[in-house]
Amino acid sequence: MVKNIVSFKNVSFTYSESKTPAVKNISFDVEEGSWFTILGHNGSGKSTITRLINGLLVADENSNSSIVIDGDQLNDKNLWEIRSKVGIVFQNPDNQFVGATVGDDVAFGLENRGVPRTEMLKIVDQAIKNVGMEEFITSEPANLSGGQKQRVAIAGILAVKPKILILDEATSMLDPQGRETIIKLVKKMKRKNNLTIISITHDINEVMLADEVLVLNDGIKMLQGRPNDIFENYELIKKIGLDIPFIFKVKLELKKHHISIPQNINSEEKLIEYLCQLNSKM
Amino acid sequence: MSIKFKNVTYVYSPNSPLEKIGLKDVSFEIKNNSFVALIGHTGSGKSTLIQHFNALLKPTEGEIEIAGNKITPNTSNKNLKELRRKVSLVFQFPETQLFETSVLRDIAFGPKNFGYNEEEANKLALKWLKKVGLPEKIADSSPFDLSGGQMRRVAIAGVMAYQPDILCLDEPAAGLDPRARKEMMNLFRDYQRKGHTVILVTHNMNDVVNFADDVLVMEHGRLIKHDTPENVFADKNWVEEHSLEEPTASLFANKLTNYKFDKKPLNLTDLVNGIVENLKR
Amino acid sequence: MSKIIIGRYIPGDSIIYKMDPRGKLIVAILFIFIIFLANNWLTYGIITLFALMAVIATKLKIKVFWDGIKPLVWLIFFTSVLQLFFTSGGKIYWQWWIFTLSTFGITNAIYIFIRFTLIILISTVMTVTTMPLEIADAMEWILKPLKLIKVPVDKIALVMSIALRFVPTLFDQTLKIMNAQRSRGADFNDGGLIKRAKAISPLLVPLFISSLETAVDLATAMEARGYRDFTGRTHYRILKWSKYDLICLAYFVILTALLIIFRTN
Repeated sequence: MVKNIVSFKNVSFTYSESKTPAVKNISFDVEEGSWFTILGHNGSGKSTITRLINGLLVADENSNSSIVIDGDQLNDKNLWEIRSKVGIVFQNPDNQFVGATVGDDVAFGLENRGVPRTEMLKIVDQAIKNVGMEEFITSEPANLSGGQKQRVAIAGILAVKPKILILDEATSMLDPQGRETIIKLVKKMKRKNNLTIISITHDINEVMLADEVLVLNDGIKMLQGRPNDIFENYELIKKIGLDIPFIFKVKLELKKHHISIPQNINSEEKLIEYLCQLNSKM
Repeated sequence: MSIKFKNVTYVYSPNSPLEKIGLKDVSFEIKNNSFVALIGHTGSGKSTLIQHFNALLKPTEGEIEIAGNKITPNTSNKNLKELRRKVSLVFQFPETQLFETSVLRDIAFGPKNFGYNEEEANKLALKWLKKVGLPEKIADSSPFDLSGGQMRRVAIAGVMAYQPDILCLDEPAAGLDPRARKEMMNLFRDYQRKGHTVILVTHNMNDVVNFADDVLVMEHGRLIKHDTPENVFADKNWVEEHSLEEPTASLFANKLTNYKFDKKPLNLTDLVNGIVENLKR
Repeated sequence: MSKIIIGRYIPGDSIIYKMDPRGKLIVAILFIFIIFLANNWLTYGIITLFALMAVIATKLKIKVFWDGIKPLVWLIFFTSVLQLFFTSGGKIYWQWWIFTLSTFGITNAIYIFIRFTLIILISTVMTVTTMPLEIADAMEWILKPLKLIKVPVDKIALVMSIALRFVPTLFDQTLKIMNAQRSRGADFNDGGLIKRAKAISPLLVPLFISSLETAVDLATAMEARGYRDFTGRTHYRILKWSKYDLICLAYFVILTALLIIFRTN
């Protein structure tokens, strides 16, 4: 049986300055080694969930609610232990770059954990190499692009060997090239280190990479399932202000012209193959 | 109000160790009332180019005619108000420019600077507050109590409220969710249809084909193409050579190998019509 | 343009660059003291020679050093002139009211001029060849003894390095907001003092807010990356003495010795 690495049970969270909860009675499980995406529009409570996972925020008190990370229920005592299992890449590339240079930044997490310097140097070099930034090790952040800074952020997080990597809209401030390199890198790192990825996004193309999607609207869980099943509910998805992937738009438009595409044709490759076959038959 | 660039070159920090070419011999002309897309990689000179539109930067060499004003290397920094009232720039993440105590006052800041009196400015501010899709009741709230998406709208209202002839926007929808993005793009299209020129700096090729009628492509500080979207994306190899992206519909159409399209589909409607056409044959 | 130079550091490669920032900082500070040992033509000549050697050893253009002196040229000139006319002694050439021009005055003025110029030259040698961050590191090292009286030197050093790291970010942000407000018709250069003071709030408020946001984001990111009050923190960046520091120190000892031998008692 596959192990659940993150497990939320009846979790709510209310910001102190607000009356209504930002997250309402949410339950979900994330399987170890999977790619889990939380989809929702701005202000739907997506980012709140990431901060609950590593205890940057503390959930509303409730006897039947719990957050379990890698087998341990999150509490005051194991907070730092759990934080070392969870790495977060945040949205703004500039505002998470702590070090004066690439090397310093990647070392930051290791310094905090008191890793001896000789060992630290080896880990930092390797981590920087893994994200393809070795020629920039002494560069200052002002001379890097947004995408490069996010690569450094990933290196800094992977240097401390977390089990879970959270991408909190990590590509939303990047240009298409930057976005593509980050996604490729995350895919590679996931395979290499058997990471669990939790990505928070409203980029539809990123959603398609997920094994499982949780759709949030105003702090409430609307849907959960595989991306293809989720997007079959396009009416609902559109209603809450989200987009559907291009192939589903093509399917919908074709339907208006009385060309029905079967439900199991749910990826670009399948749709292209299907359409090509359809054309050769005629 | 047409825009005319004549051999414009711009050099950053000339004669210093940091000297860098921003623009190299850029010439083009934009017709009145167009919807122009300005595309190119990060660092290709797009942002340097747009800062010339309202003389935030002045050419090192060459000459610009814009909205009846002439900008040369010797243009003085004074008396630029008239130009800036007619040509307005919205930078990336414009919500960072908000500063007033109320939403309405922030929107009225521009109009007041450009000579509208208090009453007129407030009237314009209220009108544009509604036009960008914000509820009237937030007029007196602090802009800093709003959500990120709402702040973006306030900032954009603040620039549109004095109704510039030429509105230039740098990635105005970056980071917005899909619905907000769509509403914003439609707002700009309406503005253009009411007789203004809109210039959109973007990385999103779907926006280019869906909204623009004229495209400027920048690379390494040079203007490498100035044409309609159809012509810019017509040559797949050229697009690839300059590592630009094709619109999603074109990418999809490329893969339908046994289909014949009379014209390369650039958007969803063209694509679907093309597919239907092929299947009927 | 995000490529700005913070402080006055100019990238380069020479033995001065290879020195440890602590070595440079200590020598630059000590230099200010030993310059007062010089009190005759010979000793001033020796120390000038030493300073010029340091300048040449940077392998930078002379213009760099002239740029260092330029802003202070009037101050040097003024102080020298004061010395020139207000020192009396020796042979008097000219006298009027409270002003005297004497041999003592002339030599004193020249000495002051040399002293000033050399101090600026030596501090320029340090600041142009050392990154601000390295200077901060060196200062942390020098302040280390304060740890004994419970001054949180580590934290101060982290704050300093983060502040330095955010200077270009803040600079970019300022430029961006200024351009955005200029586009909305704000005028930062025109008008009287009150008008200008008023014009600054559209710049300062957004800058303040964005800095605050950056600070909050940064704090969150630091916490998520495991930063906490923890005494066992290790350091990636360490300073290493090099042989060049030894060479420099040797020169410095020789210089001091020469000054002591040849100064007039």
